[in-house]
Amino acid sequence: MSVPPIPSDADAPEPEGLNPRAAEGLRKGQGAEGSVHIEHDHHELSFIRKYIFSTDHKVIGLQFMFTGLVMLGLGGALAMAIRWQLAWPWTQVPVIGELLFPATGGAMSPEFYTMLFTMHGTIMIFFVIIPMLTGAFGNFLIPLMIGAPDMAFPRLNMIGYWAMVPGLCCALASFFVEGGAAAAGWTAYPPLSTIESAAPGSLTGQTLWLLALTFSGVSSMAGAVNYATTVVKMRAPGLTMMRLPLTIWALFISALLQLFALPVLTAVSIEQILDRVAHTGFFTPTNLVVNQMNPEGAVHAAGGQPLLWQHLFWFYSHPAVYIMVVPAMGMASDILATHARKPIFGYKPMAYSMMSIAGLGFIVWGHHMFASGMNPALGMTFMVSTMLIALPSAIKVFNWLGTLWGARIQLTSAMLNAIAFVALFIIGGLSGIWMAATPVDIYIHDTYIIVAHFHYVVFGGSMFAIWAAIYHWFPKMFGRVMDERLGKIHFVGSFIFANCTFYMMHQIGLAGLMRRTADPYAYEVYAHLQPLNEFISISAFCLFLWQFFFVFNFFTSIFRGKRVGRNPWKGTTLEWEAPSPPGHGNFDRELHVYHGPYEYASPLVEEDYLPQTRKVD
Amino acid sequence: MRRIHLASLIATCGLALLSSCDIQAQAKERSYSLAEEYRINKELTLYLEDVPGGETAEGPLLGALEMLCGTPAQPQLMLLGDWIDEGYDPNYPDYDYGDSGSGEIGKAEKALIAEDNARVFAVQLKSIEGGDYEGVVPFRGAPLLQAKWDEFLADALEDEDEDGSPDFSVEESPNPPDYVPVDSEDVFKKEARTLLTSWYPRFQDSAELYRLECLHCHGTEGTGDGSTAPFLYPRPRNYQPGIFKWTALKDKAHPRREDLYKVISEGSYTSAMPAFRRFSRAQIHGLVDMVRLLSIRGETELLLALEMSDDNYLTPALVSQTYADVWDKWKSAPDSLIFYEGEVPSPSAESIALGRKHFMDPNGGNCFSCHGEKGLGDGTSAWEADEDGIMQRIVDDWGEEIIPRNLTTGIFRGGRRPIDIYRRLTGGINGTPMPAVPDTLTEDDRWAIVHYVLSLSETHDGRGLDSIRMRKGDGGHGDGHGDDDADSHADSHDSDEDH
Amino acid sequence: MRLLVTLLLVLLSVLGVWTFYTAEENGWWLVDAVTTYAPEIDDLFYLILWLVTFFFIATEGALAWFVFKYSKKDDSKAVYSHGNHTLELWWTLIPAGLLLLIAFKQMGTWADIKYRKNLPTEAPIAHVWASQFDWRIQYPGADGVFGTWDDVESPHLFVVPADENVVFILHSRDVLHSFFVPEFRLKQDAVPGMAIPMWFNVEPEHADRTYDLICAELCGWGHYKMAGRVEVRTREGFDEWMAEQEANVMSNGTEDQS
Repeated sequence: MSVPPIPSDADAPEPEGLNPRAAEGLRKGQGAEGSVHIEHDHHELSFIRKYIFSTDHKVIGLQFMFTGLVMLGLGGALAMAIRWQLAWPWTQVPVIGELLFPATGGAMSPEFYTMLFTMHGTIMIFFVIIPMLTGAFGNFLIPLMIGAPDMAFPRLNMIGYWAMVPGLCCALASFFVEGGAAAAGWTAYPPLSTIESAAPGSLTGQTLWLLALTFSGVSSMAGAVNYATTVVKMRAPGLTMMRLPLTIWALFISALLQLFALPVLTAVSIEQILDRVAHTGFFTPTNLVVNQMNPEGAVHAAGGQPLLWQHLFWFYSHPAVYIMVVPAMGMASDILATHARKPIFGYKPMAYSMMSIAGLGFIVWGHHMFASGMNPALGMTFMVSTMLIALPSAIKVFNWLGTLWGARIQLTSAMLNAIAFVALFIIGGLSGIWMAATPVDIYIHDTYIIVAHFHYVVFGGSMFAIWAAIYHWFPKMFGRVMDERLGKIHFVGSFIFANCTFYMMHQIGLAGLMRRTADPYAYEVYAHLQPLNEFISISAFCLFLWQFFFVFNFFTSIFRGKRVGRNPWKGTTLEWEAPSPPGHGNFDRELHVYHGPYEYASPLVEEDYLPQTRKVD
Repeated sequence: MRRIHLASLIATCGLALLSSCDIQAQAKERSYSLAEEYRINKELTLYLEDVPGGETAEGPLLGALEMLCGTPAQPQLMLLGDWIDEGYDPNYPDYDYGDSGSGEIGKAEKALIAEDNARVFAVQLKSIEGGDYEGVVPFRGAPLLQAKWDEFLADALEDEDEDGSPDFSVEESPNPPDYVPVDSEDVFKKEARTLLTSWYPRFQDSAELYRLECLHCHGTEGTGDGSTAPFLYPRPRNYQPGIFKWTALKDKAHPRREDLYKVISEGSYTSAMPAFRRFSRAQIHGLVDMVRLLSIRGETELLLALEMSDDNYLTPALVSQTYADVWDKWKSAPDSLIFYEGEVPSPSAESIALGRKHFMDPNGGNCFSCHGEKGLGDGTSAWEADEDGIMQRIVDDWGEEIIPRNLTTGIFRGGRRPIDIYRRLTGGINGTPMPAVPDTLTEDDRWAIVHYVLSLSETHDGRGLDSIRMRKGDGGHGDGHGDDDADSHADSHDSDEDH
Repeated sequence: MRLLVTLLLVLLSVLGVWTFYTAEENGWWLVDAVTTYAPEIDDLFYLILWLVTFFFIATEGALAWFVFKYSKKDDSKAVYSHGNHTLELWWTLIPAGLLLLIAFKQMGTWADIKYRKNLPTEAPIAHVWASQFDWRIQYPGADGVFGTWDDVESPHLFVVPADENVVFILHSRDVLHSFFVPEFRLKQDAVPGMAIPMWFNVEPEHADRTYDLICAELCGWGHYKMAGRVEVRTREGFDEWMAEQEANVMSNGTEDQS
C-alpha cells in the first residue's frame, strides 16, 4: 500500500486534483511524506454548526457517546423486563404492566416478550456498542492520537452521525406501530421475519427494524472510510504504522472489518425489505402454510432459501462481533500500559493478533449455523477456523498478563475497569471453545450458555472497556476528571453484579434451558431452575440500578469535576499533547514523533514515561 | 472504613438480602367485562350501547353473570334447583352423578387420568420418593393443588419426634373419600402420591392454567380477543355464541366433552391452536370445563342482552331460565353423534370415481362449488356480491372471512382420519358455510366422497403431506432422503392460504 | 482498594470453579445421555472442560497475583520490557496445538451424526413436521407408504423403538423451528423447503421412558410452549402402539358412544 510521494518542496508545481487548502498546507511544508494536512479559516460558527451539525470530530464523537449512553439505558430497561419475566413469569410487571396489559392483570403477553429480546439485542449491538466504540471513541481518538487536526473527510464524518439518527428514529418508532417492534430476534431469520403474519412484529415493525439497520450501516460505512483514510494518510511526521498506539491499530482494523462486511449486511437487508414490501422471494420457500392475516393472501413469490439470509447475515455479523471487541482490546491495551506505567508486552504480536482476528473473522461465520441445515461438511471447515480464531485472543490475554507483570499498577477507575475487561474477556473466550466444537454445539446451541458467552464478551469485555475508556479519556474530552471515589464504587458494584448476573447462565444453559423462551417453566423439567433465574434477575436489577453511580459521576463531572491539564495520567501518546479539551484543529504546535507509544519506565529519561514527541539525544 | 469498602459491603449485603426474600409477584385481580357487540346471526349484530338502560345494563347483567359463573380467578357454576335435588354438580365432573358430581368422568377415564398425572408430575413425584419434600417444584397452573400440598407438608413436618426429626403425623390426609390419618413417613409418601395422581382440577386450578396458556389468545371472557388474537388467522375461537366447529355431531349440536378435549389435546393443525397434549388428561379435562363455563356464560350473556333489548327486565326467573336453556343445549349433545356401523370401506378406483361424481354434482355433494373443480378451494361460491356489487369472500358465523379448504394439502383441521372426514360431510362444519351433504346421499356415497377427498392429497412419494399435487399415481420414486422440494412444485401460486 | 480488587479476582476464580464443580448436584448440569453417540459428545465436552478449567485458573490466578503484587506503592520504575520472543513462541504453539488436537479429535463424531453418507440404511420411521406451534409426527400406517389415506398422524407425540437405528425426516410447515432432545444430544433446525434426514439410536436400558422434545429456534410467540414428547419403547411396545394407532385411523366412530 505505497503512497506516491508528494514533494514538499515549496517550488514544486501544485499537484493536480488536490483540494486547494490541502495544497496550501503542503506549500507550508507540513506533513511527512505521503501525508495530507488541511488548513482552513477560523471563523465563528453558529451554535448549530458548532454543536449540532458539526464537522469537528470531537463533537461528533461526543454526540455518538451521549446517544450511546441514552440507548444503553433503554436497552438495559428492556433487559430488566426480560429478567422479570424469566424470574416470575406471567406476573404483574412493575411500572409498565398495568399500562400495557390491563386485561391480564399486568402480566406481559408472549409476543411482547419476543419483541423485548429482539429489541434489547438490536439496540445494544447497533445503537450502543458499535456507536460507542467506533463512533464515539473512533471519532474522538483517531485524529488526536495520530496528531491530525481532524478527520480526512469532516463533512462525511458529520453525515456519519446524522445518518444514524434516522435509523434510531426508525427503531424507536417501531415500538409504536401496529404489532409492535420487530420480534424475530436480532438475527431476524426468515421466514419468521419476512412473512407478515408469522409474528406481530413482522407487520411493520420488522421493516422499520431493517431500515434502522440500513441507516446504521450507512453511518458506520461513512465512519469506516474516514477512519481508514485518516489513519493511512494523516499521521504526524515520524509516526510510522508500527508506532501507532494499539487503540489506533484496533480502530483501523475495525474500520477495515466494517468496510468489507457491511456491504453484505446492507445488501441482505435490502433483500429482506424487498421480500417484505415487494413480496419478492429471496428467502421464501414454496408451499409455506403460515397463519395469515389477509386471507386473499399477500402472495409471496417463492422458491427462495431461508438459509441464504443466515449465510449473508452472519457473514456480516460475525465480523461485527469483532468490531465490537477489537476496539475494546485496543483501548484496554492503552489503558493498561498507561496505568501500569509499563510498555505493552509484545507490541507486534498484539498488532498481528488483531489483524489475524479480523482476517480469520471473515471465515468463521458458519459457526452460528452448525445446526442450521447447511451442508455438514461446512460444519467441519468452520469448526477448524473457529478453533483457530481462539488463538490470537489467547495470545492477547497472555500479553496483557505480561504487561502487568513487573509493572507499577495505579488502581485508578480506568485501570480497574481495564483489569476487569481482561478477567471477564478470559471467561467469555474460554466458553467459546465449547461452542466451536461442533458435536458439543449440538447440545448447547441456542441455550443459555451461548447467552452467557456473548454477554461476557460484550458486557464483561466491551462494556467494561468502554467504562475504562470513558474514565481514561474523560479529562481529554472535558478538561476535568471524573470522581475517583464514585468511579471505584461503580466498579466494585458493577463487577460483582455483572458476574452474579451472567456467570450462572453457563450452568443454566448446560441444564438445557433454551434461549428466547418466555416461560421456561412450561416444561416441568426446568421448573427447578426458577430460583437460579430469580437470583440472576435480582443481580441484574442491582446491576442496572448501580449504574446510577456512573451516570451521576459522568454528568456532574462534566460541570463540576476537578479541572486538570493536558496530561493527568502522564501518558505517552499524542492525544495528551493537546489541550484538555482540545480546540478546533486539536494541537497548538508542530508535532513530530520519535518513539513508540509505550515508552513507560524508559531508562532513557528520569521520569517514568517518555512521550512520543519528546526527543532524546 | 473507607468509602469504597462500605459501598462494596452494602452491595453484597443488599444482594444477599434481596435474593433471600421471596418476591411473591402476583397477577392483579381481574374481572369480566361485557362484550361490546353480540353477533346474533349473520344479519343481526346487537351493540351493548343499544341495550336499554345502557350504562346501567352493566351492573345487573354483570352481576347476574357473576352469580351464574363466578369471576375469572374463581369461576363457579351456579346450581339449579333440579340439580341440587338430583345431586348433579358440574363443578365436580370427577365425582359420580348423584354424589354431588356430574359423573362426566367415568372410571376408565379416571384410571387413565391417574396414569397421566404420574407423567406430568414426574418431577415432583421423584422428589417425594427421594424424600426431598422441600425441593418439590411448584405445581404450575394448579394453585389449589399447590395449597393442598403446602398444607399437607406443613402439617406433616410440624411436630417433631424426640430426636428432632419430623413425625409425619397428620390427622387427615387430603385424599377423599376416607381422608386416612397419616402417622409415618411411608404413609405420608403414599398419601402424597395419591394426592398427585388422583388429582382433578377444580375451577380455580383450571382458571389459572387458562390464564397462563389460553387467555392471551382467547381472552378473559373467551371471546377470542386476547392480545395475540388480532395477529392470528384464523382468529381464536370466540366461545360466546356457543358454536364450535370440530364436533362429531350433526344438526349443529353443541360439542361433547370429547370434542373439546380432542381440539385442546390435538390442536387445530396450521391454525395457531397448538396441540396441548403435554398437559395431563386431568388438566385438559379441566380446561374443557373452563371452556364450557365460558361458553355458557357467554351464550347466557348474549341471550340476556337480547332479552333486555326487547325491553324485558332481568328477573331471577329469566336469568335462571336462560341459563338452564343454555345448559340443556350442552347436555343433549351426545344424542347427535355421527358414527358408522361396520368397517370403514377401503378406497378403490370405483369408489374414488363415484366420489368424484358426487363431488361435482350440484344436486349431490356440490362440493366443487366452494372447493373448486380440483379441490384447490377456489370455487365460485366462495365469493358473494355485496350491496355495491363487489365480490367479497363469504363469512363465517363469527363474521370473519373464510376460505374453503384446499383439499390437496392434506391438512384437515378437524382430523384426517376417514371417520373425521365422514363426520364433516355428515354434520357439516358448525359456524361455517360448509353444510351437511343432502340426505339423498347414502352412507356408501359419503364414504366414496371421503375416498375421493383423501385421494386429492395423496403423494405416494414417501415424502408425506407436503405438496399440492393432483397427479395421482405419480410417485413411488422418492425414498424420503432429503432432497429439496424446490424442483417439484408446479403451482407455486397456490400458496394462497385457506381455512 | 488493592486488597479488595485482589479479593474480587480471587473470588471470581474460586467461585467460578466451585459453581461448576457443584453444579451437577443442584441439577444445573448436562442431562443424562441416552443415545449411542452421546458418550462421544460428552467426552469431548469434558476434555474441553478440563482444558478450559486449567487455563481459567492459570490466567485468572496470574491476573490476581500480578494485580496484587504490582499495585504495591513503589516509586521505582516498572520493568522496562517490550516482550519476549521465546515466550510468545511457546504461548502461541502450545494453545495452537491443543486447539488443533480438539479440532481433529471431534471430526469423526460430527461426521457420524450429521453426514448424509453416514445415515443408517434403515427406512425412515416417520416424517416429523414442525409448525407454529406444535409437532406432528406422520407414520406411514398399515400400507407402509407415506402420503396415503391410512397415514397415522400423531400430534405432539413421537413414539420410537429403542435399540434400533431410528431414521426420520424433519420438515417445517412455516418458519424455522428446531428439533432438540437434550438427552439424545440431537439438535437440528427444521427449515421450510428442506427435508432433513436425521437418526439416533437409544440404548436399550433407556427404553420405556419419555423425553421432552423442545423447539430450539425462535419461531414466534409460541416458541416457548412448542413442546413435544419422544416416547421410547421396546420394539414390541412400539409395534403395539402402532397397531393401536392404525386401528384408531380406521375407527368408525362407534367407540365414541357413551
